[in-house]
Amino acid sequence: MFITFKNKSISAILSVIPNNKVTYEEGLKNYNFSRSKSMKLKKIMGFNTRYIANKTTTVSDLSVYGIEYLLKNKILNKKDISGIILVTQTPDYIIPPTSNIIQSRLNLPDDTLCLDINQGCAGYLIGLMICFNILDTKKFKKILLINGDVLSKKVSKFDRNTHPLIGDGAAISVIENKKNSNFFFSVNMDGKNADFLKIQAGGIKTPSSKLTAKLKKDLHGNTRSLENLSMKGDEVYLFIMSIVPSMISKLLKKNRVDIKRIKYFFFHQPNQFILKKLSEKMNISEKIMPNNIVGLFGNSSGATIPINICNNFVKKKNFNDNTVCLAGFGVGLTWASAIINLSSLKYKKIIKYS
Amino acid sequence: MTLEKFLVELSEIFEIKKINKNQKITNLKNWDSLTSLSVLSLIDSKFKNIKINVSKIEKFKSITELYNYVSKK
Repeated sequence: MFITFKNKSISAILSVIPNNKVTYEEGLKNYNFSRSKSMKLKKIMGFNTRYIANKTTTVSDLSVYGIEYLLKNKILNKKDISGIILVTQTPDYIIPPTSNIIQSRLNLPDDTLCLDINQGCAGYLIGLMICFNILDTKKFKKILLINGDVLSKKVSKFDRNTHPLIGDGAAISVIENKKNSNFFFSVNMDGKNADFLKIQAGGIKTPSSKLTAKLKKDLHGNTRSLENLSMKGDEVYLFIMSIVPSMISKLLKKNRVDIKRIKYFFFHQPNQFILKKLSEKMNISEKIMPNNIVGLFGNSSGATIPINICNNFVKKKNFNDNTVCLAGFGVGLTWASAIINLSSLKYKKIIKYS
Repeated sequence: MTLEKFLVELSEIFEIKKINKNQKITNLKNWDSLTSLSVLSLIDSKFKNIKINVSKIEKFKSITELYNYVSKK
């Protein structure tokens, strides 16, 4: 599905990273693989450091910390906040929505729209689309799009398949109506392959129990419980390699945008290996398709695209030189992409939660 | 890609000097989640229109059979 939005802007992005820095090497003792094999994995996947939330730190903590920082530094005025759209797969509670908890902790008025969205790797694009749709009603001033996850709490430390890549974080984007160029989106879903990325237990279908908490070794020697995130790495790899290049070329073609006009490709950051393979297959230089986020911060699901922008985007004076392409792909399965102009991005920063 | 070239690529992935084409790929010393992903990536980038995943790769009785399948021989 292709969608075009007019006159929308992302005016600020603040990324909040937890303050516990962990290194890849710290996890080695728990993996069922030799050190040399695991060090080879590190090199190929681009693993290095990542940031993990404390046992008690939640998505609402990271979000409130970030929003208060924006308010204190006068990037944002409290009375302008008319909505909180939170994209997360690790909410504070099953009920109520975590966005309502954030609203309450910030003492926002009762005409603030609060909405939680269960989305992951493509969550920045899905979140932007929802925000843009809501802004089209013209009833809203500024919407805070929050992409936050503390997935490190849901991975097994004995699972080399997921543990070394997952980091935590929250990114707050300020979204508003503003004269700008058109924003082009594409979005697709495939629920048939939803099992590729899944937490089996802890919901209503399979409630947590002693049995679901039990650690089990898989065929490759990784150990996890039904309450941990499980990922079919090879299937996810094939899915990404088969859909992302064609998704981007279709989006460009549909909207008659020359690929040379795209100054950056800010993609979701699953690991460096996949991103290098994508830039090879798409014939796009790694310089304009950054792949450094997993090694610096870890893969924080829907927060990786805004963190990627905060870390790697260099704004140019000329309006047209700020056209970028975003793409998210994963959980759902979901794949989505967008061509947007970041000229109106006035503020971006990465801060540590404390 | 010829079978010989395929074997050279595999020997680089598995860090084995000479690969015996008659053996099962899963019997190679370094067969694990990382090398299997590298094989998958090799096949995905060098052979066109092949539907394959790791569990399918694991089923071939020999490396020659795997090669014949992906190169449609």
